[in-house]
Amino acid sequence: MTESPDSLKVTAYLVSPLAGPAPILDSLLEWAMCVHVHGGNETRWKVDRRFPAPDIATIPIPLVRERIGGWSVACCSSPILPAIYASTVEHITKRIAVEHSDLLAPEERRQVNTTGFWTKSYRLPLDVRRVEKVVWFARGNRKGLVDLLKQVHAIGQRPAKGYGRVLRWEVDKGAPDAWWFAEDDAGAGTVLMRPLPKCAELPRDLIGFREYYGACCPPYWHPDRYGDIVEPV
Amino acid sequence: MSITNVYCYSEALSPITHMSRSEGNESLIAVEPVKTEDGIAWVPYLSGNALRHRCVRMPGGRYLVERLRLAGKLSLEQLNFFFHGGNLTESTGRENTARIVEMYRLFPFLRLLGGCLPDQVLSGSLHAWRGTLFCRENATVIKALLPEEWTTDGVRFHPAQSFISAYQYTRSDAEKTTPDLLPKGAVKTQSNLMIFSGQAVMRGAAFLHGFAVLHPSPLELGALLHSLLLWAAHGTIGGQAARGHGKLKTYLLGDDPARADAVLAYLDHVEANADQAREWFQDTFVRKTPKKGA
Repeated sequence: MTESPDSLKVTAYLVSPLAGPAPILDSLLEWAMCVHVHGGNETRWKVDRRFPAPDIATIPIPLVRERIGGWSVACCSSPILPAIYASTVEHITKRIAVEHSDLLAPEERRQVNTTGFWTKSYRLPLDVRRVEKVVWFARGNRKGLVDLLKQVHAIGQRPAKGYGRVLRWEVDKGAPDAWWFAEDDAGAGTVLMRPLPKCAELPRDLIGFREYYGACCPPYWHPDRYGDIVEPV
Repeated sequence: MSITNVYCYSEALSPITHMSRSEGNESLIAVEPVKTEDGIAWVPYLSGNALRHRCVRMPGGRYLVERLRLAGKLSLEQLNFFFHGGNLTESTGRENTARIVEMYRLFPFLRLLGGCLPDQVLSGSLHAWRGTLFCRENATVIKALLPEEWTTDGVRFHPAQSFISAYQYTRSDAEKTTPDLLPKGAVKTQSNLMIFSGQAVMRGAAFLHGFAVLHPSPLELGALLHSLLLWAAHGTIGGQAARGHGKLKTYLLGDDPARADAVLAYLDHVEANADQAREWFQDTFVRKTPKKGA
């Protein structure tokens, strides 16, 4: 980064329901870099469960990364959601397109099992939440963040079906330094703000966490990233 | 880096019956919670899943099948791929990059929607938005969603509830209407007349919906616009289409002359590559013969 990093508050204003959990900011930014930054005709970084995870901090993002417990972790908090004003269940349905049976070859016109096999029909429930915005605290380059987030128009699960649509992004300077830890208002201790490796460098008065086996760096779903961590509760 | 947005304004020409569930023997339309000054209001909407399927995948897929002269020659897997995006049907996943490149070259439509070949999943570039009802509860959101050059000044927004109507139909009893076609003595005295009813969004209601396409080539944009044209001409949304429901009059917002060129380029591309595309498609979906004695 060419500019000195700032303490930032990143806000996504949503206009459609959020499906599934909101992403941690560094995973969203790495995803955006993978999808939107091309080298020639191909994406520059290929991230897939079938391949080994890319080296940590290989994908450049406009956030500061610092080392803790042997891991290079981005300075950004987990997503913070305001009060959810409605939580509902929607459904994603699928069935074989029998109305197009005329397109099948004559030898393919037969009884189809719709209760099993890959031809099974389904009506899957999808938990969705109504929130007006999602907030992250971070430390990084504001201009770089603004430029990259312009390319992110939806967050959460099922963006291709209209969920988690972002109306606009706001990146404000002068935010509290609450990307990893925050002081508890009541003075009870230090509140954990994002998943971090379980290590001796964690504050001794840490509160609001649980120990877990998971990831503290993106891609968070990749088995190569799993280890002993602490995560906010 | 670019994202192309396509905004659509659709006005209901007939009742829209995009149902979500039933209560008793009444079908209820899909509604979503919207936060207003007076609390939470439940407002009808069109799901992105339905719009994506009805507006793009179904008309565009049907066009491709007919244009590539595959009608009446498809296997069940191929039909499923064109109209529902396909399933992994082979036990071993593969990553054949040459095949992906070739597919993207031959089928801009499939690059747009993505899909699942028998042994690999490919992402698409099309994100469909939900259909937002033009109503008082959604007024603020609609103003924010519309492109800058479009304004809702002077538009009178009505409450969402005023757009919800009801329908009721009767399935008549054939034994009563055409008893002369039945043998003597076959007519029962008990009637099986069936009444069915439900909610609908009334004619005249309007929805704002659209699509975002990530890094589209002109051919992908052409594939999207061409599918939208086919849908606007013949398509419906929601259920009860057999009774005339679900017809929308759709306008694309904005006047971009490049759109017509993109559609023509797409049609030319399909025509020019039809033979290769058909060959690729048949090769990719070859059904493996199970090994004997395994």
